[in-house]
Amino acid sequence: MKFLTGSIIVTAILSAADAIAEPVSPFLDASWAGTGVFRETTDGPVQNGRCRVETVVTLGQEALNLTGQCAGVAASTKVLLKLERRGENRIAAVFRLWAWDREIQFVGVESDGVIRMTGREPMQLNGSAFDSALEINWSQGPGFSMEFAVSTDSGPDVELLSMQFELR
Amino acid sequence: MVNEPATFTRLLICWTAYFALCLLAVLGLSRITFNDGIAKSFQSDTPQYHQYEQFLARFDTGENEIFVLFEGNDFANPADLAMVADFLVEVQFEDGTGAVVSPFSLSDPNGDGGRVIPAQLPTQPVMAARFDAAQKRIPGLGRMMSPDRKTLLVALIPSDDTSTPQERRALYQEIEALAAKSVQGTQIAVTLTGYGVLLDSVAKKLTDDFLLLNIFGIAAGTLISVLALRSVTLALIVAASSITSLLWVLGAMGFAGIEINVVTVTMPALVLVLSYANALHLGFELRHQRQTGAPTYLRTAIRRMGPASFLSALTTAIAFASLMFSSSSLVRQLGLAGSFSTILLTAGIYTVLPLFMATAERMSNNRTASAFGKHSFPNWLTLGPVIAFSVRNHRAVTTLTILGLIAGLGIYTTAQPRFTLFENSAPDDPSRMALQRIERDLVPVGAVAFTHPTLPADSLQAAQAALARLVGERNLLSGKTFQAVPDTAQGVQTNGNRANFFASESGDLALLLISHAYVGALETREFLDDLHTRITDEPLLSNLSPPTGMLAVSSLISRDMLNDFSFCFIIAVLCSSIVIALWLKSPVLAMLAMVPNVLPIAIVGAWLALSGNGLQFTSGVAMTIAFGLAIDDTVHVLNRMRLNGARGMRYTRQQIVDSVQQVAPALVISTLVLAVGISGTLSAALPSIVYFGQLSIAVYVLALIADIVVFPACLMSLSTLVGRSPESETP
Repeated sequence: MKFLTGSIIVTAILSAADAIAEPVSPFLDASWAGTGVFRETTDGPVQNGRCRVETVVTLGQEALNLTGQCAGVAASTKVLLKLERRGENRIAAVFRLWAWDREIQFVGVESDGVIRMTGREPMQLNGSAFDSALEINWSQGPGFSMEFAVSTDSGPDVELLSMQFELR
Repeated sequence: MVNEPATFTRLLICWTAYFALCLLAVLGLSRITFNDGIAKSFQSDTPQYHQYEQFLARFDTGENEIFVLFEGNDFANPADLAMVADFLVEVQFEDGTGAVVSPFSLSDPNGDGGRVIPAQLPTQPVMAARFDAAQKRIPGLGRMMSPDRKTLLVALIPSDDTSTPQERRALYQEIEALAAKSVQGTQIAVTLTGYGVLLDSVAKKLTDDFLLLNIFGIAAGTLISVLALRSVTLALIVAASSITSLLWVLGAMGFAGIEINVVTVTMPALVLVLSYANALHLGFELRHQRQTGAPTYLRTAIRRMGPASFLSALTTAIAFASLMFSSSSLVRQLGLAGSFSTILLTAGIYTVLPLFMATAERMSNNRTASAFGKHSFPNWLTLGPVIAFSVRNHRAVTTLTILGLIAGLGIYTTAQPRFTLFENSAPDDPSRMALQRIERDLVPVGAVAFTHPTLPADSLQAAQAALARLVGERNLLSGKTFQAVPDTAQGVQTNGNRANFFASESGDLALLLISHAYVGALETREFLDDLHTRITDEPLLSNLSPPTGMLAVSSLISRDMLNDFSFCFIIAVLCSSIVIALWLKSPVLAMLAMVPNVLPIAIVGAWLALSGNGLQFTSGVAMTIAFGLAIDDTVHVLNRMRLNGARGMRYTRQQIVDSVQQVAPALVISTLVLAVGISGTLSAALPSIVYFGQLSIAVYVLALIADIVVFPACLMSLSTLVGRSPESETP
């Protein structure tokens, strides 16, 4: 089963927003349920999945800890995201999946309810170097969404997990 | 006026001590734990068990896998598949679920989206065609879905943090509830199964059976006491004494850390009925002595009955203690607890019953002396004609007994050890039936484990290939299986706890599993013997370890453990003979006393062999303990003869007939207490307890018949042999 570890990448995608529902910032102490899709490996098939996470705001409104679990029909993993506002809309984050057994450090900016970040350095997976991107969007509602994707110089972007979160 | 005065102060001291002991016992009782204990049955100082321990330390065995069996009309139906998919996602949010394996886990390089089942479910005809094609290409699919698509299997692997029985039970309940909710409103049936689930169902039934046995024992014992003593007051005193003894024994078990499991569950009930039997013997004597008008009737009754009661307790304790020669730690624990409990209960009866009696006397101030009833038995209970017949025809009866004994023991020795892990599951248990359907329609759930050094790699590959040739590719599960067909079968997960399922923690050993449809130990041993022969003939498998895993180890060890019971029984017979020989100062009489007690075991043992039931844990324990209980009656016969002035080995016919007649009512009643008191077992949920009850009751009844019919004849024949002519002295 070692083929699974080190190859599971999670992507979060903002899915189509509900026109009626209000956008909700993840910067809350709250429980969230997410639905969407994810892939177990960069070259694996997409599968439907769900996440259940908790968010806790610290440092006033300047930092956010997101912890929980995501599951598809064939696999599950714990997930951790630590976000911190660094001033002038700058954001730093640490993203970790237990199955992956590694942490990715991101930096990015926050603008109009959207946080867009990229990995500080290329990520090595199965002998290939991947650029990674993490986006959190609460501008369109309902709730917020997460998208996590990787890409190589030669290949297309691969969305590994796409989750739309709503308050539980 | 028959009151033996007891001062208020003395009574107060005694009652204070009594309540203090009861309080202590309640504290101990609260510490009692329930566990199936089946896995512990094989804990032993044997090479196979030590190897199994090492195996468990190095590998995550997967023996706790939970199987969720979905049965419907056609799992190509997208609605049905969507329901299973929904269940798979939800179940992974349950605390304790480590990983899931299902047809959704299967990769199919030729399929859309790289999966046998794509994320976007197609229509039923398309999915049906996909499944049919995949059944031919993807070996793993046949393990999880039947070719007719009516059966779909999901395997759940508990996480490492689900280690205690309570945590596992909570997980099973959560999964069961979720599965039931998932299929609500559909035509799909769902059943939870797996060895862990089966063992948990045994543990759950243990609690119910424990309560049933003890409540039934109390009710039956009290009712028989009322009928036998024809005095509610005295019967209540007997009942209170017996219940106190039970409480003390359970308290002691709690403090000693002895759990209630499939082996020990009947012990408290046995203690209870034995307490009733002892209390009745003492109750009869107390009332008899009270009617004589002696002011010290309590002391007199204790003096007259005490030696025999303690001797019979000793012989019962010896029978229990003989189980300490078993190689099973669980059986040894029963032996220790049983022998200690037997002595404790007798001491309890001989302290509590007189205390209750003295208090009742003081409280009644003799006004209600009649409340203790009159000491008399119905005449027919003396069984006079039967005893007279036996003595009159002693030669024929003795000859038949000896022949029966030889034949019975001879046949008994041919009884095969037969063990199955399903011994405690009813054949119609839903989980057990589901397991059988999985093995019939999909794949054997059981497996025999082997290990092989991972290096050099080509040696391991050669061994895997050779083993696959021997047992068939489909029946061999190894790391190679999963590399060749990613995402299939057991072990797939993403949260790390089973990443090394087929490799030892240190990485130096590889695990090779051979599927095996488990029926019982005998069949598994035959399978292993056949496998051993083929492996020995294959040089590429020279580095393969001996077989291990729960199925292999339990099958191999159980044979020796079951054979141990014969040794335990011989020890019980020898030690009991020695004790009686010392008491009566007559080895010959002691050997003779064994005849009516070994005979029932020989008869039941012969039936075990002839019926094909063979030797099981239940029968081994039941027969050894039943021997210890049956011998009590013989001790009471011998004690009565001693009280009647019979000495040596020369008895008159009248001495024999009188003594046996005098004690016969008590023997009938105590056998009734034992048999009826333990008959709650016949309504138990666990089949092994029902079987235990059936065998025990058979031995008790046969032992009574032997004591009334066989023993007088044997005594008469012995008297004749040693030179006296008893007939000439017949009045």
